[in-house]
Amino acid sequence: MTWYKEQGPKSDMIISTRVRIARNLADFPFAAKLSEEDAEKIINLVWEALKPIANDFSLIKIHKLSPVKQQALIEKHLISPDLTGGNFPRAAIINRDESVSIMVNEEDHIRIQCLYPGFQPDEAWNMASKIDDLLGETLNYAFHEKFGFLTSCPTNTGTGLRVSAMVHLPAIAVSGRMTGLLSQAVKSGMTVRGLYGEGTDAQGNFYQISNQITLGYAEEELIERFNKIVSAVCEVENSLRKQLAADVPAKLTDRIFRSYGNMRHAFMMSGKELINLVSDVRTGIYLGILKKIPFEKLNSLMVLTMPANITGNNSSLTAEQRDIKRAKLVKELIFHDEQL
Amino acid sequence: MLCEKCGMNLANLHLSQNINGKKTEMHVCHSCAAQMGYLSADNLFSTDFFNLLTPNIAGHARCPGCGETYDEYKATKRIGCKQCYTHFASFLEPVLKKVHGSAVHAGKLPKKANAALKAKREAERLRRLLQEAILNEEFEKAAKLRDQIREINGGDEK
Repeated sequence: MTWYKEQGPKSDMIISTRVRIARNLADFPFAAKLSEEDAEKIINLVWEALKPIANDFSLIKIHKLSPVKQQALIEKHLISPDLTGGNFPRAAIINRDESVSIMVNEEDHIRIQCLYPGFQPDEAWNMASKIDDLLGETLNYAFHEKFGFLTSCPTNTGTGLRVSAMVHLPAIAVSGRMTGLLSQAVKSGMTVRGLYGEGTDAQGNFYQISNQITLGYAEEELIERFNKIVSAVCEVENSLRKQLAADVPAKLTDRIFRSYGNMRHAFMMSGKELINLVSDVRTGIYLGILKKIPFEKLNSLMVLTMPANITGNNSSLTAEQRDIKRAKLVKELIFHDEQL
Repeated sequence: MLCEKCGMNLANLHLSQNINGKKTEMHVCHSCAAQMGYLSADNLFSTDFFNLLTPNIAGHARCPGCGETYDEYKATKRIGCKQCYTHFASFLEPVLKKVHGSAVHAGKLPKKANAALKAKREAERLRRLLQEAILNEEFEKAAKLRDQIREINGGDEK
């Protein structure tokens, strides 16, 4: 299930769910002290360990890719920015439907990531855990009897588990309750960040919620806790959407129609503008103001129109040409069967 | 910072000399300072005495696995290798507790974990269930659990 192509549970609120597990090999220094030679060895060991399921996966040597291709993978959330840059041997092992990506030689030797559409923390955890078991059959993990799985950074030690969801919370934002809700989530051991992770703004009211604690609880307990908190946030958003729908302020209605108009007719569009348009159009659909556009189509837009994905193989595109191509692509993807 | 004399231990003393107007400064560890004759019994009651009470990793300030020092870890926030976790355990444990509220793993074990570790973890899990069963006055269940724990521990569980 490709997160930006298919529809998942609660897709009117949750774009995607990600689980990642951090692991290191016992017989090599961690990333900060790793030699290029050892890094190459680790890539081979991980690829070898995946042999039983290798026909569904491709091994991508990230340091051999052009910067645009690296960036395109980042935009699809298949790799992290930390996996790119320089000639140090790093790899991503990605399956056909792009729901599993195993990063090699990022901050930890191995990061197993499962990314599913909508809200599917249990499913994503089960898949990640299965791959972890498979790798663990042949690889020697760095493990401490008391501290658990050992990681480069102590914030991941223990289970090495991070579960996160990308959520869209326009009604909470409009109601002005965001700050209160966020501090409550933080008190419950969650971290809340903007769309593109650490230190980024919550563009278009898209947020990432993830667990902060990785040690002292079993993985299932961490997933369950996360599940409860994200579900509670969704309930608040849901009831505020109902209140809002009963009496939509004229200014909001105007903004939604204007955004819809821009999405349909604009000749040029920046990436940032697109995120805000998608946010407004989604809100219009929730509130019953706009007719339904499948959410997975809107999710696709947020990936396929990002700078590197829109550039594709034509790296000579100027920013202006990209903005024209973006607006055109939006029309093709969303309004293809309508007379324009 | 490492001792400027031996280059092995953490420098926790700052020596400053003024001989005929010529100033020299040096950062050294306790054992080098003692060898140089700067630490007498009187110093035990100075503030430096309290430094001796904090966990002392003098003599093995570098991780034997990767050569990282704890100061390097503090600067980069990246641990060098698995041995660092054992070598700097007394420093890292409070860090883990602060971040996670606990420093004891309760999750998965590696597939390759030895049988003894798996048995120990299973016995811990059953003991928690046993406590629960007793609290809920489910004595039949408790007896079964106790037998299971005995079996895992080779019959020596009282």
